[in-house]
Amino acid sequence: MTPNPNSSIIFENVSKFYGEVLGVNRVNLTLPPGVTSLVGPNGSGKTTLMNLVTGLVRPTQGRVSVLGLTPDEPEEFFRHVGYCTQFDSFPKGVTGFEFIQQSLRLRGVSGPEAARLTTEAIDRVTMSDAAHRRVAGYSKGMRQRIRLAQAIAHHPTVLVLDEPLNGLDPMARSESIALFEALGKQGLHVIISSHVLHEVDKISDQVVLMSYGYVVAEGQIHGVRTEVKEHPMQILVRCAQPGLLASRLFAHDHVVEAKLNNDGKGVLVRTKDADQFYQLLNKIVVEDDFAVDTVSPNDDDVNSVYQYLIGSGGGTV
Amino acid sequence: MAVYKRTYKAYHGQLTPAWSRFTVLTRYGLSTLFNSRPFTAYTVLCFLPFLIGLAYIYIVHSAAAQAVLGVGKTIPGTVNNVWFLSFLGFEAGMGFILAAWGGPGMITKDFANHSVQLYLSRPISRTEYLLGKVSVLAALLSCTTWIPALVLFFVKAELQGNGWLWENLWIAGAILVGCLIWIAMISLVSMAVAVWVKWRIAATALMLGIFFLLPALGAVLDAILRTQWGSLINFTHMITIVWAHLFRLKALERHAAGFDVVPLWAAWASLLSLCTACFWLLDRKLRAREVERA
Amino acid sequence: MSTATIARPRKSFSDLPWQLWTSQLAALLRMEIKKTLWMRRSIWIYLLAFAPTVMFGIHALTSPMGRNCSIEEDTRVLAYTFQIFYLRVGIFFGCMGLFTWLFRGEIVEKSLHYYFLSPMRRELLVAGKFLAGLITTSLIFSASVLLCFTFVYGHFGAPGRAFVFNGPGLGQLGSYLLVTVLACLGFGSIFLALSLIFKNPIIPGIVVLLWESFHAVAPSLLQKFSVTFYLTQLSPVTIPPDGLMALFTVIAEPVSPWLAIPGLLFLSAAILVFAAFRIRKTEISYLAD
Repeated sequence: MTPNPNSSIIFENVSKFYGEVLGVNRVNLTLPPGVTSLVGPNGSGKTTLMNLVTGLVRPTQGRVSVLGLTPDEPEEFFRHVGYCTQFDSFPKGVTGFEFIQQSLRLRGVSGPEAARLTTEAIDRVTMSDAAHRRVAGYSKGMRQRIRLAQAIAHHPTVLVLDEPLNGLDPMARSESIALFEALGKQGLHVIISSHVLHEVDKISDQVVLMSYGYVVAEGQIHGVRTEVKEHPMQILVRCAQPGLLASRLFAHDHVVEAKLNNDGKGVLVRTKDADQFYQLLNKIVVEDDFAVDTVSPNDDDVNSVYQYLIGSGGGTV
Repeated sequence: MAVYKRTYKAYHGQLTPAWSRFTVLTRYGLSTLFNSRPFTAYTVLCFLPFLIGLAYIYIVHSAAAQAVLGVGKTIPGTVNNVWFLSFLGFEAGMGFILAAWGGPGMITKDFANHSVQLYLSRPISRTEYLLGKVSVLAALLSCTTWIPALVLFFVKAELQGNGWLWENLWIAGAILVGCLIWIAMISLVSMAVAVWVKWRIAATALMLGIFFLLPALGAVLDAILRTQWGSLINFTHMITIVWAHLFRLKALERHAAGFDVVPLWAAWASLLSLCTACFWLLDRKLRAREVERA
Repeated sequence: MSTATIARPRKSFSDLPWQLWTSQLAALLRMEIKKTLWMRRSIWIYLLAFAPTVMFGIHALTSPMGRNCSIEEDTRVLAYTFQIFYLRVGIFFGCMGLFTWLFRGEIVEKSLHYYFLSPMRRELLVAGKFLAGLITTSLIFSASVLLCFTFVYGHFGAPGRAFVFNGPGLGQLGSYLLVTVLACLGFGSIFLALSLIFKNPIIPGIVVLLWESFHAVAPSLLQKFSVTFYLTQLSPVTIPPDGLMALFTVIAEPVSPWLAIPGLLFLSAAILVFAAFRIRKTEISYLAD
């Protein structure tokens, strides 16, 4: 299905070079609404990709459009876009409240309305107590949260967050993740880059894996994992007779390993074809009246995909 | 497991002498400056007056060269104390731009990258840090001022002969002392403004302000209050007064050039005040910690 | 989340969002004027601007009722102070510091991206920042010149009042203030543009200083690309040429004020258009400065 350009973020053959240094190269992406995680090692081009989305840098080649808009129409474009950058810096001498309110006033919001939206945004990041203190005296986590509040204060439809969980304590981290998830469910485009893979994994609708400026993989995490053929999928089957199940499974070519769990109540299967494996398991259960407690993929997450595609020297889908 | 139980061992190898460690900063400082091509080009340009001076001295003493060039006896001027003073004045002007260009950046970049704290938390003191940075400017400015001036002096002495060297050895002393005072002042000001404003552009502008804006303010003060003491904040003029005495300019020559607007002691006091203010700023602002105003 | 609370700008070319632009400009001016006029960083501009004022104040105190001086002499000293100090040094360096900081300062403090991420045209950002700088410098230096003028003629008593209100005084004051504002406009536009082109605009600033100081020796066509060329001839009192000072005060081919003012405005506008064009291509890259 052709994506609707007015509801997607589209990269068409986008490259960005900083002089002779590669930022990103030949990126073709379509990001639908929901939470998208940008995952990759340092210097892989995540921030460049985010800066390209928000117009802070311009592509050397190709075209980026956000909901059918470009930064050349800033009045319309930035009404829809909020960006929490990685720069831990603020205008000099401002309080958290002033920082957000000034930003809203620049957006053309009237005084009382700006004050209302500021209060609302500060409440959402639970910073009300410190709102009227100067930002220079904030802790790293507080600065991170106030920047997040500034990015969401104008109710954007595209929210770009560069390492938004950096410096946050576990409580603030979990609150922020809940906030991103809620925003994603409301239909916003939430683009997050983060190194905390297991946390973004929980809320991501799709991931974009990047390495050395290239998009290594993109899509829903399960789909990406399925495509990584060189690493057989790991599936954990909890059952009463793991030894018997292992012997039945081993008779098939696509099963490359079946390892009994230490507790004797499960078998970890590595298969080259997950779909065939599930069909086979159904057949065994039905034909042999085999009791299976649970079946769960063991490496169908961002962390594993990251390890397979990037951590282990990379690969392509 | 406790660290001492592991195989980890602290470094016990040979170390360079503690006194020489500031030279690491100097080496890297010089190397960073000369990474800039425009800066390198300008440094090379600073040697142009030396080459012109060298050619001039040669032509003055070479009948063959005069004949080839067709200048004969018409070549103007003599190479004496006034000639060397003018030469130094020109080189000092070019050197000022060199110091304003390269000096503040050496420290402001450290502040911008929060590396002052790193330097000072290692076994390097504030004095050594400053010494390392000042040595960069001192080396650069020496190479463009007193060293070429002394080379010209000795070339002149060699070509002139007849005991000229011994009769005029005091000029060499004046060149050396005059330049060292100037280098010390420029380097101190450059470092002090850098630690004060911590931004290269502002520090360069402040240096310009001290040496261009204050003289104008001094001139206005003289005009409004009908005095001549406004010259005390014209530090370029003050150092020229000191040089004029070092180079033994005659009273008439000093008067004609306006080098007698204030007495010599006042010129020294003015320069010392500037240096004291720089030391005070360096002591106050060059610290291994930074306080954010919350 | 809804976006109903934000005014939606209209897109058609014939119906530009003037209301949004006006409110954005007003917000920007409020922020920038607060920053430039009241920040600790601006203290030096006040010191620079009011140093001659203090001197004229001391002069007024030490020469009450015009003792030891005359109106003619003080008028000449004021003209000298204005042309040599204010025009060539005070306003020049004040504008260099303030207008350079408008954008370079944001880059140094890594806060320019907040402006770039707001729904504001970058051209409007240039205009807003320039206007804020112009208002600040004009206010500071005009106040300083006004006070100087008051001190110069105030201490003469009745003859001074007569010179101001019944003589050429008020006209001269008007000219001084006009030239002050025009100087802020001209130098401001130059330094704003330089700060968008060069990482360290001070070095080209020195070139501008040299050009503005010695443009009198250039061919007459080139002289028209100098701010002081226009300002010198708009100054109300001519300084007699004296030695090296003649280089700064003599005008070889004067133009009428009706050409000088539009000429300067045109020069500044052209520089600002260039700055606006330049900022459209600016990307965020905060390197150590």
